[in-house]
Amino acid sequence: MLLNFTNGSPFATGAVAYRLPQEGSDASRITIGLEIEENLTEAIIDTGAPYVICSPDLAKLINLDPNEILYAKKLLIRGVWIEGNIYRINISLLPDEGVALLMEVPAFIPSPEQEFTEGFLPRSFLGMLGCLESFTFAVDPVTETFYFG
Amino acid sequence: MGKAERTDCKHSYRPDEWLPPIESRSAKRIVVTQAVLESVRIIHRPGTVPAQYDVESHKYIKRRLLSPVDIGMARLERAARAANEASFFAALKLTSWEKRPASDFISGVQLALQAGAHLAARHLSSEGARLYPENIELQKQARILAPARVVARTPTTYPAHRANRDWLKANESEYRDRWVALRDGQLLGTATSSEELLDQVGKNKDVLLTVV
Repeated sequence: MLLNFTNGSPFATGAVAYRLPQEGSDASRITIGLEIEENLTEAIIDTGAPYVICSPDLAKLINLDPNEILYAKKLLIRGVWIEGNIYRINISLLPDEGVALLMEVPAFIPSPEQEFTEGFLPRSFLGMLGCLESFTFAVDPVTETFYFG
Repeated sequence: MGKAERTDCKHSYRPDEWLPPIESRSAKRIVVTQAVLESVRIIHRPGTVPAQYDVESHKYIKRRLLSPVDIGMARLERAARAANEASFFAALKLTSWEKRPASDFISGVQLALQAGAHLAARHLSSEGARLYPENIELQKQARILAPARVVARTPTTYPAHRANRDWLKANESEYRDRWVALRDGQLLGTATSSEELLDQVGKNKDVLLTVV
């Protein structure tokens, strides 16, 4: 069942169950499945992060137009300065119920030349600025459901 | 030591009364004094350059002050170098953007990103693009940093999605920290790294590659 305002208008038009990894660096982080540049993957909902932040492993899989690059810069992620670029990419939020959202978002893509320790940043992030801020969302911890729309 | 002139700033010195030549004073005191003055210049007089000592006249050449416009950018640069978002915002408020060239907006966006002031970067790029619609770089900045745009809403559900997630939850303890490839809740392969897994299963749009 999706969420509506008291006047009946929809608050969320899609709902997807999330999982909480039990251990590791992403333990207890709300993790949902989605498509990033047509790659089926998982990402963590992180209202404290800017942009969509692609994991280094996913960054190696997606092909982006080098003419659409915006700056080589560094982001501090989990205590590590990561070099990368900002691109405009497509993501799709895939629902268990309701309507899928296809969006164009700014994303930080780590430079592939960097080497990271094993297991560093295994998943991507959906950050607030540039992504989550653009649609309504809610979390129901009882049913472990992420609502969006 | 050179005489100091009191102003509303506790650190100041009168530019016309310079320190005596090094050879007539304790080298240590000169070095300390110069270090203090340099810190004063950096903190209280942003946008200035150090005074140059002229050996022949035994005088320091008066420091060159940057224009108020340059001082604004100098403050932003300092905050960006320090990756200090709060300082960047403070400097941004003190900086007038009226009548600035497109190049200042482009630089400002870069500095904002360097400082971690991502919202400021977006605002500057948007304003720059509005003022200079013919500038390709500003239009590109604004386009990339703009908020997310919903391209389409498709009334489609993904049962394979739920099946993959149910598999992950059921098998987390057994496959923890391992990369797995799943299609419709079926395990296709497992490996210790994403590269190894890709070698096993290849790249496929319908296959979820993730670490448990």
